[in-house]
Amino acid sequence: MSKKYTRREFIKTSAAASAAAGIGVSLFPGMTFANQSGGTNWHKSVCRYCGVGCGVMIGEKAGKIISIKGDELNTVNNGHLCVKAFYLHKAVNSKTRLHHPMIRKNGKLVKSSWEEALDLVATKFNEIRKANGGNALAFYGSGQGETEETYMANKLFKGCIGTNNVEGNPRLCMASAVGGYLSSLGADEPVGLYEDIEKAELFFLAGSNTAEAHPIIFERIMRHKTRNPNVKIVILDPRKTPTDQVADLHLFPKPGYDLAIFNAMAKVLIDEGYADDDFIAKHLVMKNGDGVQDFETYKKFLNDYTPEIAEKISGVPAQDIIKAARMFGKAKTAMTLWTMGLNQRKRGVWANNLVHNLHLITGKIGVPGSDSFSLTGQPNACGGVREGGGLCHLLPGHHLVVKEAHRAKVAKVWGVPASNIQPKPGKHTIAMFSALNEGEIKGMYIMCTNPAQSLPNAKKYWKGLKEQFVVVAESFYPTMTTEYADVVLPAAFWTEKEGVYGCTERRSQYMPLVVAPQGQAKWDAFILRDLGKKMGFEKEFAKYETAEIMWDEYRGLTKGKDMNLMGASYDRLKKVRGLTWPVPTEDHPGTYKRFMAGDPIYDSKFAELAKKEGRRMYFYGPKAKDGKATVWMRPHDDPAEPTDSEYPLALTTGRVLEHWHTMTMTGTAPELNRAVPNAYVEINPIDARNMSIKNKEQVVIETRRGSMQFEARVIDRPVQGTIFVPWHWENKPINVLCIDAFDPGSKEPEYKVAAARIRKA
Amino acid sequence: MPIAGVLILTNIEEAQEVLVNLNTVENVTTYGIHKQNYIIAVLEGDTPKSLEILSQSITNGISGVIGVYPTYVNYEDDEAEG
Repeated sequence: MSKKYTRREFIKTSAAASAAAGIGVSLFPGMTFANQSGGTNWHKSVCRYCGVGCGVMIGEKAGKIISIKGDELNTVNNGHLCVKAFYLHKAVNSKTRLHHPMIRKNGKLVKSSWEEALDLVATKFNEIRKANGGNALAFYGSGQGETEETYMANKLFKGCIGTNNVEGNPRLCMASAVGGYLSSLGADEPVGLYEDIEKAELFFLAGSNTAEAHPIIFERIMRHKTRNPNVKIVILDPRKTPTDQVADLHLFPKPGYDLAIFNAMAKVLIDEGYADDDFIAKHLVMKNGDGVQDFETYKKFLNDYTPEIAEKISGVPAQDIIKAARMFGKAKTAMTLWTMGLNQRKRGVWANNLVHNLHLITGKIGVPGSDSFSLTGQPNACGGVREGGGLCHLLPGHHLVVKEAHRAKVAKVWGVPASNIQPKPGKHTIAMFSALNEGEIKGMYIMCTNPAQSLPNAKKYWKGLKEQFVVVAESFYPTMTTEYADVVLPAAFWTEKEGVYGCTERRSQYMPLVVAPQGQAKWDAFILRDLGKKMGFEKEFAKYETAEIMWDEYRGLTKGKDMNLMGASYDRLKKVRGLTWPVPTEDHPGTYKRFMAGDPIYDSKFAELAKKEGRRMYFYGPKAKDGKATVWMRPHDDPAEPTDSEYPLALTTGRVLEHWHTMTMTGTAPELNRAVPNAYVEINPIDARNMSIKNKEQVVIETRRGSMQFEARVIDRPVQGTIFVPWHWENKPINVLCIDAFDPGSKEPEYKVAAARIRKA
Repeated sequence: MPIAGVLILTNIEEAQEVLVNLNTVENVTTYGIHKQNYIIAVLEGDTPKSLEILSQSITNGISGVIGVYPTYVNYEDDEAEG
């Protein structure tokens, strides 16, 4: 037997053993496997991709990453990963990694030194600030950045430069979920954790292709359903997706017309006796636009949403709506999981409110196996941006710019005058890029995101990117956004830096530095720190020599807040598989359910009061009054751009499994591009027949914002009247055709619905 | 050549048929059905992406497969080849 064969067989055996261990099976008893072998150093970390927060073990040997495996001890994924794991290593070593700073000279980006690049940015930003004020500058970050990175950006822009024009791409994906949690439950982020999955009897997947977008969550649901055949799955989605293979019932609404369905389900639940009257009386208030109302008013409101009326509005048969409501009502426990299908809407907050309503009126919240649980799309949208305060109205640790006491508290920690922090929110994302177009914002720093491709109605915003001074800090080059950059700064990538990611379930997890940054790449937090020093804030940024210093300062700001992270020190996070806040002390294990017994905030402040009132929950968040959650009366509202005779089709967009976001990571692999080489448009077979369009024929999609050619994929996936285009490709940036109308509350754009038409090319 | 250990989740009633089909796929080695509907397998490919493509073809091309979930991926290309 040759050495080569032995080595290969050993790796294969290790791989099989690892898979077996993932389900508690021992294939090769007594054998030593990969994690003990071959001089590999294993580093506990977190996956770089979506918001699930899977634990990964990174295998490093002689400064090189040689293997990845699921972390069996991590409760999020129990050692299982999704197929993106195949690409984790490849992304680190992609040929498109940027290794040196670049400055645009004579219209072309050319290599420069760090000194020259940062001097230029500091000089230009200071010139703009001096001539036009701090609000002429802006920062646009990412739900993929670490909490420490967003923290540095917040301090530089809000605390030192003096502008609240600080946003991040979670505005485009999760802002409506934030608005929903705040307005319904009084505080952002879910009540429960993933462990509710294994206790739920019913899953209501609304606007979520869980199988493709959150595969590990889907697998947990499937594993649970396999063991418990009575578990049911109801899907609400205008498109058939791989998630359908396990559905017990699928409701297909017209895109943008599902609010009536949630209201109709609530009506059936109440009319047929599934409401929890005691929970309603003790824990809830009913509200509409006029303020607090009584339960009778809510019931009268719902009379406008019989299943038959909802059918007329949504296109979903009344009997299916009734069936879904009964399944929800009969199940002892239920989890609703949703994502962009509800959030990226003109009424995204309302859609979120109506999901919460179903759980609140039935009392299916605050008990094991029941929760209204928003899934996030990026790995640190929750931790870095929602909790870290990376939006224009927030400060770190769930503090608000509009509150004087919050500004004073944060300013004191930052060592800046409180007056530096502006008392009004800055510009939200769409307003920010509009202001860039208009020249009101003259300088922008973009970190770890690609807005030239990802913004809705994207072409409209290229003007500002081209005309104003734009700095892009990125790990990959080129992107559509670097095409407009005046300066491009090479950023260290995952495994080349340490920091914390906070995932969907309130879990903060530490990621170690495993290998040195490639080329001259630097950690984003250090780039921002050094830029701050060069801009004249030497004293303010002098102390940030390590990531731990930044994290400790940040977690100090969470003390006493609903998202208390004081017990999550680096020392502790390095040992455990994350901690779910509130975690107030180093000996606290983290919290499973908020607002009830076991939550340290509830136990210490509200348990006694709740007991007196005969309650099992107390919604103590900043937006709740008297500890009560809110059932909102949200009426049907059309999408911003309904279909009409001129544009009769609803265009909706989304992901495919093979690619991620704007393909900066996944787009460079030839094999993958061969597998899914081009964007395409899915057309319902009936629509295709009516338009005489054949499969694989070239067609042109037109919206009021432009036109683009695609290959037709005639397939029974989108509901009739709907077309679907995946949004990843730079050469077919479908977001150019999407509408940039946004939710008036969350300011999240309505990517999911635009009026369109198709013609043959 | 990258190697991955994966769990292939199937419909319970189709697990045996999936196993038979998997055994005809090049670069796939199976290790039986476990816990009713998990098949343990090792995938081999020329590149990490070819592993992903292989897993996609299993997911989309074999009836009864619900999902493919890697637990271990080794990229030790040169060293693996000795």
